[in-house]
Amino acid sequence: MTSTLVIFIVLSLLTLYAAYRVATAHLITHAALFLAGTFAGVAALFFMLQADFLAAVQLLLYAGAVMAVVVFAIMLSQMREAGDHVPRWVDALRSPFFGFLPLISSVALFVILLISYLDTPWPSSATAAAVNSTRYVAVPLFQSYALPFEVASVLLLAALIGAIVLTRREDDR
Amino acid sequence: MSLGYVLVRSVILVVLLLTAFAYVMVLERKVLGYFQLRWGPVRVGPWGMLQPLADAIKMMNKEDTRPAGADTLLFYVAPAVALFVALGAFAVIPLGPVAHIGSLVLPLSVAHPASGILFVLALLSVGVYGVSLGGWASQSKYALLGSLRATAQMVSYELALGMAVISAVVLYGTLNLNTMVSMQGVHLWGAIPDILGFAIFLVGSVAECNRAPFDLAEAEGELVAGFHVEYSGFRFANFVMAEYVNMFTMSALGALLFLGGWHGPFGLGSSVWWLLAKMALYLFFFMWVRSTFPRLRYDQLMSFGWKLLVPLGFLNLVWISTFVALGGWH
Amino acid sequence: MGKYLDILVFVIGGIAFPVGVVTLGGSLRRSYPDPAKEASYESGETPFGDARIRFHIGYYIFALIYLVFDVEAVFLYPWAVQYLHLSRGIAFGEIVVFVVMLLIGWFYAWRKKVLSWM
Repeated sequence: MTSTLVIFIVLSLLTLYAAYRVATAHLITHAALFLAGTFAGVAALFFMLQADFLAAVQLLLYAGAVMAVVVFAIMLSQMREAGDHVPRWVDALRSPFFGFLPLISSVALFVILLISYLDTPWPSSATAAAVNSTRYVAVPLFQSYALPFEVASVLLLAALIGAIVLTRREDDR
Repeated sequence: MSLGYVLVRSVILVVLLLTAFAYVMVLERKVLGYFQLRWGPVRVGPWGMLQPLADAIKMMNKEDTRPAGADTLLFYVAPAVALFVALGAFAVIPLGPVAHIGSLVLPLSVAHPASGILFVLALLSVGVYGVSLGGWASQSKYALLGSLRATAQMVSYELALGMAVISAVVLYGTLNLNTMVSMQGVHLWGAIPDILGFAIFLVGSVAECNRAPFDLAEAEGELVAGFHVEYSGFRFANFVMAEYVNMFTMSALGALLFLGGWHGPFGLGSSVWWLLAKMALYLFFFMWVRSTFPRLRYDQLMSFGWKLLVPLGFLNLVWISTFVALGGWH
Repeated sequence: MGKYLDILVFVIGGIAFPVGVVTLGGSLRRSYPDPAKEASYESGETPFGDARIRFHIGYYIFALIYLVFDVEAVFLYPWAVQYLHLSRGIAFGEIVVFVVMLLIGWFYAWRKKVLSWM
């Protein structure tokens, strides 16, 4: 076993454990902390794959910005405890929001990911490493996919306006 | 490179960093003292130079208190997270060109990834955790208010800071800090075309480090000590250390991105000492600002960030990309 | 990969020092727990109520706006790196459209007084 493989296994186990604790932590603040840990773990895995850009984006957006929103949302809400009684898993499966809906959607997501994983022609690691990963993202993004890129800006504008409309103070003139 | 080599280098760097931290802190107290027409620390050792030692011993002996009702896990993890992130960001800062000691060739940074600046920014965006978790876990109103303010503030100024950094990236066309510096050796320093970017970076870096006049996270006049009010002893020291390491990172980054890195002015050669001198100047600027300006009010702080710095950052980006499109340095 | 391992070693070394001091210092320092010491500090007043009060939604709005702008900023990095190597007119036009969209959002936020505190 190479050292890279050992590090990979350790990292993925840590990430999986953090993800598991997100779902099982009793305090919602702890769940948030473990969620941040999961994001950081995924970023570390990206670094291992020499996908510097993706790793940085993972940290910047998920571990940074999304977590800031999550933390504020937790602090804003009055709900601190995830609930004292833990239902038996059979009962949990019957209730829509804790049981089968998340299960179906995560299975669907997993299948989609698996299909796209099997469909994608993967570059050999040697060629991927030779190219700076940020440039690797930039060239198609600004040449072949320029239009989707601009559409993304419109989407973000819509998101911004949506956020403002939803959270704006009511006493505003 | 063997693991032993990496270990030895890390230990040396950590010791150097700790010494730097200790003495920059004494220096800060001295500078603040002189600004206020007093002496600063003078009692411990000649010219107060043994003050950090005394402080360390004091910190070690302090009782380790934890407020009742505090969230144990978060309370203990928060200072470590703050320090972890600060050190991680500092690790990729190149402090100079490759050093030659005898036949040994030493790169002057712990690591030098191809996208160094991206790595630093990514870690800085995570740096807000230490503050927000620490304040949240303390079960104290002052701490909570401090951490809330700090989180919103750091998040806001990070955007402006990011814009300034992006303008530098446009200028050099690379994310590699070493390449940026060597380009400034050939051409002009980054701050000359990108003066606005440098100004934004300067303000943003003070705000990111939660330093006066942007120290609303601590705001001792109203929040006692803000997010770390309930921390004592070495856990408190961890937060302070993280703050200073962040200051080192920011000052080094400012020098590397905008002030020619380790290149001397007017073609006066290049060495580590130039970079250290620029960092010292930058740190002095931190202290100068702290002793000169009163703390901002929170609404002023947010307006300043969002209504001035962010749009200025975008305008600056347009100017720099026009500059580069018109030929720039190339 | 090695370079990130170096960072990890360095960071763990840096963390080990203060953590070690806290642990070692445990034998040096006194510990006389007392309910009064463990009460949260409220300037000498007796603490009242839960510290985790609900606070103003203003903080949350800023976090949301930041999230949107940060996503935009992330798009700017690959653009900034590759700018010199793309055909400049097109690259410049692309980013002007992108930034204008962003500024429209920013302007909207300003007019809705979201950027003003309280």
